[in-house]
Amino acid sequence: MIAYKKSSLDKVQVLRKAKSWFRHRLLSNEQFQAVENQFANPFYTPNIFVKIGLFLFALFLISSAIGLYTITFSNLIGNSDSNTFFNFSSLLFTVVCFAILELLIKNPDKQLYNSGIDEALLYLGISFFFSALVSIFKVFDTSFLENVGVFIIMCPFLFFAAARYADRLITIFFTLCIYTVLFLLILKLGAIAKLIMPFCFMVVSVVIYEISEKYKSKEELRFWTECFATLQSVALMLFYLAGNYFVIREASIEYFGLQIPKGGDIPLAFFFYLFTAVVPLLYIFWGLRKKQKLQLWVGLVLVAASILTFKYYFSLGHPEITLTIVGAVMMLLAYFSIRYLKSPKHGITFDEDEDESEYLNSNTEAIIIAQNMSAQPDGVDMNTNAEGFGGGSSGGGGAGSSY
Amino acid sequence: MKYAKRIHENGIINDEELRKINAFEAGKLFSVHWELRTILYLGVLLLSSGIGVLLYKNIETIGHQVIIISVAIACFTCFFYAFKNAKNYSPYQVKQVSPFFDYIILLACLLLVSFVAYIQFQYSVFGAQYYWLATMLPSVALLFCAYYFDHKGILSIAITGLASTIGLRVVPIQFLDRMDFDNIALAFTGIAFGVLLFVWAILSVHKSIKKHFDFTYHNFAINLIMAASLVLLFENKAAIILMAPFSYYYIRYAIKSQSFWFLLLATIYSYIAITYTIFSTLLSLDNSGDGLLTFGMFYTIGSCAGVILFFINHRKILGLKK
Repeated sequence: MIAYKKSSLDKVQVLRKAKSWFRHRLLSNEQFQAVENQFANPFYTPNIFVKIGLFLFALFLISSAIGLYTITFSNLIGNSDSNTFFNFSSLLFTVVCFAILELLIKNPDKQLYNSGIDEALLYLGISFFFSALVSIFKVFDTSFLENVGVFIIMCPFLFFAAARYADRLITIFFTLCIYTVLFLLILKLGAIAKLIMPFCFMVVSVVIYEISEKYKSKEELRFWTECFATLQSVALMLFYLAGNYFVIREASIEYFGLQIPKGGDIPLAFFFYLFTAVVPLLYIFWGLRKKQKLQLWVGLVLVAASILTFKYYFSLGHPEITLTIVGAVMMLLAYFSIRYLKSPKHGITFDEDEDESEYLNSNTEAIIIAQNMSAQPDGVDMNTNAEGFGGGSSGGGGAGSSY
Repeated sequence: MKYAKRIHENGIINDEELRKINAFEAGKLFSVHWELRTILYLGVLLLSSGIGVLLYKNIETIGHQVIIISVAIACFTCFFYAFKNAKNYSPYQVKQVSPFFDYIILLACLLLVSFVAYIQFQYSVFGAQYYWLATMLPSVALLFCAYYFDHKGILSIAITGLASTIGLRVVPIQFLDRMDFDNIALAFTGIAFGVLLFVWAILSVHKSIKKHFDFTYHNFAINLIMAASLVLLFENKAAIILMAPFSYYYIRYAIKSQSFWFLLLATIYSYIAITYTIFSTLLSLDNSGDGLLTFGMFYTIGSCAGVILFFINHRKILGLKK
């Protein structure tokens, strides 16, 4: 099923693990050397920045190839049958992208794996297929709600792509595609739809989560562990969103024509308020309890979503006070947690996990700080006569977007 | 754990070592190090930007003096803590004892910037003529803090502040799309400041003064020099001569220091420069533009393939074996 060589994928994992054991002195120098020799990584997987470069230039290359193809052949065919030409070309490029992708992966000299080029081909191939479907089904001429067919066709295709290339982004699209189909199908039920919609989403999320959980740790499915984890993250998020007050309220108005009288509220409002507030905290607790980063991170992100939700409906019109208070609370929370974890408690520690830290060195932090900080002096606008200042005008724009 | 079995099967480790590795994997603690640090860092950022806006919005109200005094006290307290608990200055990398230290000094510096900006805005302490002192003085103070407390983040803020003092706005990634240079003089200033940072980065490695700051300096230098040179290039094609040595240097530097961020930046800037030069030359030779579109397609296909091959084989091409 998987396009990449299984034995090679295993080697990558063994090598990664061995590095960690070597760092913790569980392997001697000679043993690590032996592992490096016997499990030499046969893939071409470059550094993240080289990968970004390869991805970008592969996109440019393919786009100009398409440009060349279009100006050559569209003249021959003329304007009479441009629709057929577009559909044919999209499908042709789908086939071409996947063919090149397969050839590059199977290339014995340089087997591409997470190299940026293979991702570019994969994503473009799927985009071409999707645009062909959109054109064939004339999606833009009909309303969004009538296009359940397009998404149903996309589902197996995305599943196949996600499974064959073990790609996380495609896995996300596949999961969202399932949810879209579900949404459109339930909508067809009519009046009952608005009552059961949130609960159907929650049930489906639980099902997706449980299925992934069951298969995640299976030995023979080890190449898809990250895909299953991605499925689970999306399922956790959708479970929350299905009961989020903002989503419920806005979706009811948008799709079910709900009219909320002044001073009134949506049905079951209290339940959804409670759900919005509690679920992210439960995720965090669950993550800490079961020692799972997945739930912990999803929970942390969703706390922010919940704060924004409540802020949206109960705003006092002073975002700066909210910023200050939230900032202070976060600092205190982190402070007391770090103090509390001075010595490990319940198997949780503040000590660095070296394997994790490898990815996040202090350089990235420095870039992030400079990025965020540029807006700071502008927000306050420090100079009384900004005209004499080089970037005074553009600085204001930068600050505007961040508040 | 199955992976440990693999190297056991290959005879690299014996039963005892396999047992040890399995015990290690099973007994691993759950680290929330980066989670808590991220929360702490975001808290500092939110708090300081909240206070910045709070100061700005409350200028006309009665409460503003209370706010400004509390900011001053908070800022002073943070600095007091930092100086009291800091390890002595050393030209090498220093790791402070407390995990909170870096964040407290960061908060102190951010509050200082807000504070100075506020008193300039409200009381014009530096007057209308020397308004630029309001950015320069805190930047210099931040530069001192960056070295004294060994803090790369503060260094970035200080360089940004200094650059904006001389009329530039430097932001590492947004540089290209913001394109803040509006004239040649600014572009030359940018290049001059960039070269200054470049020289200082090389000197500090050479003299071993905070060697590990060189990434930050080079990061600002390459973006300043290259973006400003591109602006010059759009005016006069000869500016490509200016970019060539820096591109070459940074590609070498990237590979030597395994910092592929610079490889990516140098390649993209050079690609833009070369492409622009070729097409503007062709346009000036023949401005009918008919064949140019087809040539453009072929050029993009060829050049992109070239860049991809360069990325994949950069070691071989540059004659570096590793």
